[in-house]
Amino acid sequence: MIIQNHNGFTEITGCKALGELYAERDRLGDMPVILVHADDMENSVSEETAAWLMDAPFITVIAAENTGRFSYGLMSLFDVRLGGNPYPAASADADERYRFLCGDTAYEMLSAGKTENAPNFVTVLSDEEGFSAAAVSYLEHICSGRTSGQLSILTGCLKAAVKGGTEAVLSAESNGFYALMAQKTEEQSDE
Amino acid sequence: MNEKAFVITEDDGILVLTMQSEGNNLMTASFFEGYEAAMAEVERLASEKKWKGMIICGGGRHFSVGADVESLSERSSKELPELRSTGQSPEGHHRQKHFFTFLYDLPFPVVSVVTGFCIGSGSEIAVNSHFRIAEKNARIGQPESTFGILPALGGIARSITHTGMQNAFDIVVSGELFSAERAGEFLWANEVVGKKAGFSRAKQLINFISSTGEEFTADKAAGFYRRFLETGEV
Repeated sequence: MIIQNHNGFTEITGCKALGELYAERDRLGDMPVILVHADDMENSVSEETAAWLMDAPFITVIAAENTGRFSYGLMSLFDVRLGGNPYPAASADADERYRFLCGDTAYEMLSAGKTENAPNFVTVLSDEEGFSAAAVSYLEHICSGRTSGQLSILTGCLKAAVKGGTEAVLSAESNGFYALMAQKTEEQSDE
Repeated sequence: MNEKAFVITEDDGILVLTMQSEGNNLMTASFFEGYEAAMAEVERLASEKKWKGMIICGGGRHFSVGADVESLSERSSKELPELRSTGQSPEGHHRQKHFFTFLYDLPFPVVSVVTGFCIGSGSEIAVNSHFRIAEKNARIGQPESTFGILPALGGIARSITHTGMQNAFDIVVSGELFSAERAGEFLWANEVVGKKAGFSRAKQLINFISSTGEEFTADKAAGFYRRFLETGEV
């Protein structure tokens, strides 16, 4: 398993099983976003690893060119799913986790059973540069120009939703805003 | 403050808030003063329990171009001592935030008709509404992160609710503007309609929900919208 740091995120390649990622968790550092390339990964996960992923303080991203190879249970452990194709609606569950990951309207659409693909479940990337490179480019683009500190606060607000729901995010937004504004003011006074 | 910057009217049992403040609803201190007064009036009217719903729209070509970053920065700098002394985000911020987030708790459906630019705190008015009907010319986004800050008026929380963690991550962290069509693809917009068609579509949706006779709450909004689509009413 290879761990490589980029601006704002850590990229994991050569991971054969999520258990391997869990075993190496102390080597992951403190980046706010972790990208796991999953094309060589087995389609299974232990309860212990699943609990760790669900509880992770960073944004977890899985990149799998063939998303349909993985179970909904495994895919839905990740906050963000990047794929070369959409995820079949028949393989997804209209559960509360789906609602959280994909939004209220997507949940209703999946529940109604009238869509071929699971709405909002996978962000489909173009593979002109190769799928793995496209996944890295996607995150490079999103994180571009953000400092590690700003990314940590932004992703912290998003992750507040996992445990505390909407109220926790509303509170985290306000605290995060003033933390960033204080940083900006200090930077400006230093200049 | 321009007295006509925020106009509340009634249209067949529906409250209509038209924002027509200067600079395409540029959110200056003056804008917020008028906005908070208008929303306080909406809050008062809502207690009358006679409304079918509410539509929020821009009076000109644009919904709102968002906050004036310079005046936002100036105001926030003044608030920082309060933050440092109390350890809490300032009282003024909570008051302002209330007049965005309370929309989601109103007992009737709130629909934002999104036209032209709908950016930053303007976009936060839209996401605090239960529904967003975007016209084809709309450009939408939460670009706060590109200025080194973040959306703090419900923009992150509601983006998760409407588009899921998957897309909220992209919208909030990248800060990129996106088209109405893109907003429809990832379900930020419930619907994308042609120019000038948003208002009548918003009325149709509110009238449908009212016609069911069922109690409206925010957590039922997406379900109501699905049923509205199933009627095939266009």
